[in-house]
Amino acid sequence: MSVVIKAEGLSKIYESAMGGQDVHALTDLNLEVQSGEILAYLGPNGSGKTTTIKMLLGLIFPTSGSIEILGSKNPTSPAIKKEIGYLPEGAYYPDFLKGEEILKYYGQLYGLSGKDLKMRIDKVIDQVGMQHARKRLLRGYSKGMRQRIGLAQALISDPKILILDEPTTGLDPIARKEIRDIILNLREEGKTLMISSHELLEVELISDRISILFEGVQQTMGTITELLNERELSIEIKAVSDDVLKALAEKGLKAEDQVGERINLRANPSLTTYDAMEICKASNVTIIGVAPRRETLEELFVRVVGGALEAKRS
Amino acid sequence: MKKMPNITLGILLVITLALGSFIGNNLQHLRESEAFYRWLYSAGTNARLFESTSASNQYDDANLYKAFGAVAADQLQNVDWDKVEGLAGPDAFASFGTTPLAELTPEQQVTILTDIPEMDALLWDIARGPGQAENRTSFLDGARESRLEFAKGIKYADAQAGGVNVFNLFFGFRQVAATLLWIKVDTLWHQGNDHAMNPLMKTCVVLDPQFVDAYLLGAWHLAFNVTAKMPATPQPSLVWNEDWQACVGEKETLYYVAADFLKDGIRNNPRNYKLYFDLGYGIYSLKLSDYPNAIRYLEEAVRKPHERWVPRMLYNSYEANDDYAKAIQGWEGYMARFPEDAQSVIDTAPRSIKRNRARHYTQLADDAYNAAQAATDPATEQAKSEEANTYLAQATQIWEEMGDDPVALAQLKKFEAQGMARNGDYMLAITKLDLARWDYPADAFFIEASDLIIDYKILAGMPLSISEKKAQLRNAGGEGCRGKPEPESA
Amino acid sequence: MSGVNAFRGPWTIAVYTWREGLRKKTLIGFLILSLLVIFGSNFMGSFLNQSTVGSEELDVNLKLVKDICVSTISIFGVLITIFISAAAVPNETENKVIYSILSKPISRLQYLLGKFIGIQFIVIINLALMGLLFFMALWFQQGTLPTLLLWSILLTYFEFLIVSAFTFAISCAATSSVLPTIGGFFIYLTGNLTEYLNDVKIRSGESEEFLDVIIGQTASVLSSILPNLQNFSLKQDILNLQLNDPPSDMQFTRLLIYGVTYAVSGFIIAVWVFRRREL
Repeated sequence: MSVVIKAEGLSKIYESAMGGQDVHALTDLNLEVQSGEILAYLGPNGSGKTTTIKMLLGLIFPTSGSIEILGSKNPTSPAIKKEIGYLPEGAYYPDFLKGEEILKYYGQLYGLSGKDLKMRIDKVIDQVGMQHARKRLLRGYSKGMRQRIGLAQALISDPKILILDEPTTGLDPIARKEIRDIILNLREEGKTLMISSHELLEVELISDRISILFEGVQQTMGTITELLNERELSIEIKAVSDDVLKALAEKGLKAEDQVGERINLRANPSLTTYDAMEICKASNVTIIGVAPRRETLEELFVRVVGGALEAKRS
Repeated sequence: MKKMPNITLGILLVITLALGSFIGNNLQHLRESEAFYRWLYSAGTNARLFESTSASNQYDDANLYKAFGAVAADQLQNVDWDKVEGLAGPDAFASFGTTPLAELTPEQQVTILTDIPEMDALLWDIARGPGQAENRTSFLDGARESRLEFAKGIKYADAQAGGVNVFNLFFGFRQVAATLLWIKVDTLWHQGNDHAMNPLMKTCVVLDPQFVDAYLLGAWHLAFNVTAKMPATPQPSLVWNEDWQACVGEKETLYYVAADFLKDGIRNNPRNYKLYFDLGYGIYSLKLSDYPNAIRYLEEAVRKPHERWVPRMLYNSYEANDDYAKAIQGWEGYMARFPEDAQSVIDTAPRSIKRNRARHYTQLADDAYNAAQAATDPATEQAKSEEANTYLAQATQIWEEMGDDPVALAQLKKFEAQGMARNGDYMLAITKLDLARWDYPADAFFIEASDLIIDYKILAGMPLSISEKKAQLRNAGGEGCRGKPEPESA
Repeated sequence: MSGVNAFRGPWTIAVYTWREGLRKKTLIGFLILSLLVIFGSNFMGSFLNQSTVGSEELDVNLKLVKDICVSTISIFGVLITIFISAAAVPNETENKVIYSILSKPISRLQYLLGKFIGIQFIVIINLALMGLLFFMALWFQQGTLPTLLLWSILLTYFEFLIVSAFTFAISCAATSSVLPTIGGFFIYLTGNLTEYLNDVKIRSGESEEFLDVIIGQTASVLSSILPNLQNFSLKQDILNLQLNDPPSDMQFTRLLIYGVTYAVSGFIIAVWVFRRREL
């Protein structure tokens, strides 16, 4: 597998005009996207995801660091841009045009014309399932249809790389599913995708690797299996006094939440199931249920971001 | 571009700005020169036509024009006149006869510069050339300090004096305002509010000095419409006017005001033939019967690009001024130049030529007859009488050839009457003329016949009617009026 | 810039800018208004009392049509020019269309070129429509083809070209179209007042005081650098001149070059501003 997008030491600082505090939108980012994979680029709003993407596309310019796309140090050269399809976040398209006219316009910007262009338009409209609306004016489109036509314009030149900024934000569940399916199909076709999102559930379902960004700093990066804690034990017990909970926590069983008379404990990963049981027994609590479980991306996210937040506070 | 984009862009910007500034300076020079050129046209026209009549004033125009002329006279010595295009044309140099341009004096050549449009290119070269740089600068200074009267009608020069006045120039609101004001003038005219019209018309042309129709219509209103129902001022009420060098009453004043209005128009639009035509024909010929001046302005009009009817009126004015040779020459030239004007070529021109020739012979006959009368020795008297009869016969023949042309018929009746009078049959002659003047009504002939009747009545010792006595008094009183200075010689 | 695409990209953008621009309600409004005024100017003459309508009265009518139409074309033409030049780029940054376009293999220079050409299409089409109606109005009024009018309209366009280029340059630095629109009017105003800088120069030179000299020199430098839109006042005078007028003939070609030169410098400023702009 080759590296398709590579960012090294990428930083972006917005200098404040009147001698106020500079804004560090992105600090020392190192990022690699392998060919054929889906990289999920995660982070809360304002964490620097869109900044990174804009820098990759040459819409804004890095304060320091370098970008390499498809082996080229100059990502804004037409030859490279030809291989990138980009779906901007919440983008607007000239709404006096019909669906297929937009695709024609963008296709022409890629240098496509005539028969080639027509074929490409048919193909991408098919890919995003918009045959029924291709001759309708854009202003009559629903949000989901707009997003799909946006996806279609990103695909019009049959690029190797797709950069999708928040592709499913604001869509209803059915539309999300559809977009997700399209994305998975694209991976099947061998495209490299970089998807920024804060919709964790979506991303967990489709991505190969993830990168989590918080306040401009990349907190973690790796494959899903690498990052998520596998060995985790959740123990449900009957409610006990705070003293007991405190004692349990000291031994490695942390109370997570309380629902009515039930409390969920999470075992420290270093504890075996047997150890955990022993501790419970020693503390004389009533066990309702024990379940091993994999950590969710959401939990990872909260863990990582929460950690970063705590580190910042202290 | 790739390596040092900022420097490249900066250099490009500097280059384009420098180029723009270069062309801009060039354009400014051209616009200054254009203003100077248009002023020269106005000042030259004024010097040629009006200087003697305009009440001289606090303005510097005349001095600056003289300074220009002094330099230009030298500059013109280097001009190859054969190469100046389009200088042909029978009427082109009427002011200096048929002398070739190269043989005119330098002063005359300078005069011609602002006289005929064929010289435009040459005048323009001189106006923008380095030779006149000094005069151009004084022109701009003069315009800036409002010392030049004729610069006020030139937009660029006027703007120099005005300081910042955005709406004067923006979007041409000035012109629109002038035209809208004209609608008001028109309304006032139809309300019969003549006195309110005059200042408004003046305002119109101040706003838009190139509003030629305002001058034309305004003068026409003043000289024709307003005066139409006014009686001619009785001789005792006439007052001498120093500016116009004429005896005027209320009605005549309006003629001269109209003429002045047109002259203002000519100074601001020296190349518009309509203004010269209306001044020459409309005012001087029709209203003031001042044919020498009429001819002067009509000759100007034909030297500018003009309509066909302009020269026709010029030739008629020659005729009215007893300048028959010029009239005949003019009509012959006209036939050659406008063969497509069928009506004129077939009918008007030949008839006019005949008429002029007949009048020419009549004039010669009258001169010979008067000479015979004055002669002391019988031989001369005999010779002159015969000469007069020969001319009269030629004139009669031409008039007869003209068939039922009313002028010809009237003239033949006049000849008959004159013959009768010479034989002493004054009663018959008077009767003949009296019938003829009502049969062939034309102003000129009516006056001609009436004057003859008075002469014959006096010769025959017959009493005059009241109106005839008045006419006699008027003729005897001549040009005199209150306040008119006595001639130097008296 | 890849060879084949170097001009096709801008061309495509120009065509779509044009298509979009023609749908703008303000522009259509201005256009309709101006056409109404031009059309109506034909009937202004009916305020003149009919009883004196002779050949000369009709000439006054003709003058009325000429003056009103030239003013109308100037006013509405410059409104349309400024509005469209000020809005073309900021609108696309505001609604983020620009992201999807600049992520295509289109350089910023090409993008600006396309936008600028598209703006010119719109200005030209508007001028052409107004001019056509004016042309017909004159034709009906005076009976002969008003050829000088074509030159007048051409000059008007080249004046607008300068205004358009500098407004465009401002708009490339702005995030919304409000500021460049105001800037456009300012440019038009200053451009028409450049001539008075000469006046300042001359009058300030009259005293020898230090401040006066400085002001005079500044005015002198500014007046030679800034475009002088009054140079284009020939567009109005030309309608009343005869066909072969040496001074105006000589100025004509220079004015066209003048317009193009300043338009290019305006465009260079636009490129300079936009080249490293963060979107």
